[in-house]
Amino acid sequence: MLVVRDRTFLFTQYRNSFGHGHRRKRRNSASGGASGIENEDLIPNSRKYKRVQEEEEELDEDGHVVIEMTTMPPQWVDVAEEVVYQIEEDIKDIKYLISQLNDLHKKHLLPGFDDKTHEEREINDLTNSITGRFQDCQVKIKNIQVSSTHGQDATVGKNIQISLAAKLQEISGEYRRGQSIYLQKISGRKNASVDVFASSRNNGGGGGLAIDGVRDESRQFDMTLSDGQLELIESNENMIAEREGEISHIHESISELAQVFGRLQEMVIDQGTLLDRIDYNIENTVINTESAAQELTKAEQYQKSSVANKFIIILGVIAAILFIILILKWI
Amino acid sequence: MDIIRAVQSYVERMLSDTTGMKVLLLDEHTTPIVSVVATQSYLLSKETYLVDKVGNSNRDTLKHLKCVCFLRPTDESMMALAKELQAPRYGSYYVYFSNALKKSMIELLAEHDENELVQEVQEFYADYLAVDSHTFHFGMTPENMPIYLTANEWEASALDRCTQGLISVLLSLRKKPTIRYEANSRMAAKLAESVSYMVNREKTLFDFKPVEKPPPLLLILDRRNDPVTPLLLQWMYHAMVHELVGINNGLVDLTHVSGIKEELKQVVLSVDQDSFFKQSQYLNFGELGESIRDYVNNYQSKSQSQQKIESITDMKKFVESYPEFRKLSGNVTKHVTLVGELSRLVSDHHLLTVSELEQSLACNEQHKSDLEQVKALISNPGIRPVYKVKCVILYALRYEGLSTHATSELKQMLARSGVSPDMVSMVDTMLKFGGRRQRQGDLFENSNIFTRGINAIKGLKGVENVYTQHKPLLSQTLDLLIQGREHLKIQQLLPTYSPHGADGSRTHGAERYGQHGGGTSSMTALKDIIIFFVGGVTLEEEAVIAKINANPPLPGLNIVIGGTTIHNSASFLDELSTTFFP
Repeated sequence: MLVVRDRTFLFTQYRNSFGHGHRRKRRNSASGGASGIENEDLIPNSRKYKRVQEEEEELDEDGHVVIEMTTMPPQWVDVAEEVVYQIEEDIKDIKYLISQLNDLHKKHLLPGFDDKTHEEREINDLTNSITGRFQDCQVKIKNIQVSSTHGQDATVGKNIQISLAAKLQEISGEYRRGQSIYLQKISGRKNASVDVFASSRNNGGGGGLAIDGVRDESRQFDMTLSDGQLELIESNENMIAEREGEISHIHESISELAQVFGRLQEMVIDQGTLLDRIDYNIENTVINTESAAQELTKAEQYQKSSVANKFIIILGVIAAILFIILILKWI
Repeated sequence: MDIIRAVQSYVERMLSDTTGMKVLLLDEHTTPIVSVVATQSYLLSKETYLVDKVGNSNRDTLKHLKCVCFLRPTDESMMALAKELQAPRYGSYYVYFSNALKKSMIELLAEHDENELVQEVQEFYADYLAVDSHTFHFGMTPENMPIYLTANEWEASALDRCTQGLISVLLSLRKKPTIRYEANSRMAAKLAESVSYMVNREKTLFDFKPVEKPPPLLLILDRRNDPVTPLLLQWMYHAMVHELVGINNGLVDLTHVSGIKEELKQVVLSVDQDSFFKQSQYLNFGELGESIRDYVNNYQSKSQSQQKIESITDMKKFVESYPEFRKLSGNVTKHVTLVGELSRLVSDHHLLTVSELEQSLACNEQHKSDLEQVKALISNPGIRPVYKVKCVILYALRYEGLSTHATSELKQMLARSGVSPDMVSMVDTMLKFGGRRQRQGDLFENSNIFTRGINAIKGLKGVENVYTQHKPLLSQTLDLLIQGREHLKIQQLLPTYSPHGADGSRTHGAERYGQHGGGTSSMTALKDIIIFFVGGVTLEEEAVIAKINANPPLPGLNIVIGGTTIHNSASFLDELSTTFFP
């Protein structure tokens, strides 16, 4: 519940009383009329368009045709807007995929003896496609090309990239957290099962070694185990191997993501720093435009600088003289 | 009543109401207003891809952008906008003003909007600088807007600025207040009247439903009644940085620190964006040391796990927490640098010695030993002149009433020890500004035998911390107000809002206090209080309010404090030295 006061009405009244811009008013009333009969008009857009065009090609006082070029954005802006739209859609998709993945993770982590290979494949596919989407977006952002390389157009382009990168970075954080929690849980489970099998012995070495150790140990145990137990252990071993594969797959996807994300981080503004201050950015745009102007004048000076020109002329003359001498020698 | 939130809501609304790619134009008043509550990343997330000043004539034409303007309705900004509208650089304009517009201003804009590009003209009342959720100020310095015309008179433009600022504070918080002011202050009275006039004139804006019971209170105080607080060295983190280094609208300039890294030459201190700062802003220097050590340890444990990226798991952890880590690392470096600089200043300038004497002068009546110590301080060559002068000022203020005071002797000593005559004259300036005859209330608790006795007993009990024993006069005033022990001598009710308002014979002014008697009981119920200091508020006072808000002595009590500026001793002395005191 903000307290505000709208003065637009009063402003418009004043503006109308000044009577300037009657031309535009006429156009407004024309398009207003068009929208009024829109219901009965089958192709209202084209008609409206025509009308507007007629209005735009009006004669000014001197009798010249005036074509207004008011809201024609440069082409890169259209492209950029398209990318912004696409990425927003992508982000929605990615969010949905992440929530799906999290559900699958939860389901997968529930203890049970059912065959889970199908689930695992699903998880893999989903992980791959999310990572792919991230890579996609990052490339799209990078490809926003700004036609002019200086001036405020360039600033706008750069800022669009920064804001998209920040948005993407935000959900990538969510994704990475989800992945790492899953990873923790699943490797925790792996360790737990290792503990079960190696309870009587102390097994040294890291993860991979431990598994081998477990295998040997369980072979030793085999002697005293019934067939049924043996089968169970076999299947457990398979599970362990599978899980290993699973974990390394997650690692892969995370490190792939890491690259994407490293590139994004280059674009994003570090929060809480001077670069994130609005007044600092204003001062900088002012300075940038100034320095750009200065550089232009400098460049101009360089171009005009006669020293270089003189050298070129002198070299040219020398070359000519030598050439003449050469010809004279031949003769 | 959240000051930062209030301004943020306005900014959010103005950037969300207009969708699509846009540019934000500000003027020199609104730039700091927006900068302290919002960040560049926030603007970008709102599709605001360019920010610039309306007065910058070097802007490129970008017709495909919409333009959101947020300006203070000053003549310069109006002219700049009118010029912009005549030769428009952007596709359409959505204009927001930080305060009430005059009809003539709307007319001027309408006249210049020949292309009819303006779509909105609105008033968004964010016309003040938000420092914390309970603290605001108007950033008035002698350079950009001097307050004093003469010792007791407002500079007209400054009075307007304060009135408009307070009106916008009230509107943004949706408060229609009763107004009280310190009875002896002509400037506080003038401001109270001016605000009251505006509240009545803009009746429709202040028509809040339902009417609040009890009504909010706007309490206007005068710096003059407590000239001591801004002079003292501070030991709480936020106040200390402001006193020793200086905070300019959330920015701290560290360029003078030797060997400073490029990215730390200017650092941002924001309660809103920096959780460590929010937590430790009221810690005293000792506690701060512990807090920053924990912070560094936390960082170290994280950075160690970051450093040994041997296994793939480590890498994963690194990647996962990288942006958070990067943010943490930047923040740790910033605070360590700041605290390092503070402790360097404390030891290099012997600030513990200075502060002990300052506190003793401000809190205890012991003329003989105080005089000796002040003399010792003046003859100590290691102490910076400005601290010597401040101690003499404190001495002069406290012992002004004592027939045997040695102020003139101390002034001579100052001059002999090489302090510049301008600085020495500050002693007299300060006595003219906030001497006994200018003040009301019992600043030093030495006005009568009773308070002297209490003071002496307090002195016997000893204090927990010698360096932080001073309590600003404000806490005394608030205690009285909260306990309902009305001191009408201290605060005068504005007659229009007085329960006896019908009594036309009443005038208000310093000579009228102490006659109200009855009818004040209705005032004892307090909920929301907005305190405003004419002549600047200090961070010590701000901390007092933070403490009260965290632990309100009355249920639902919530206080907001503000001032013409936020003073440290340097800016306070500067303000007075540039003011002519007859």
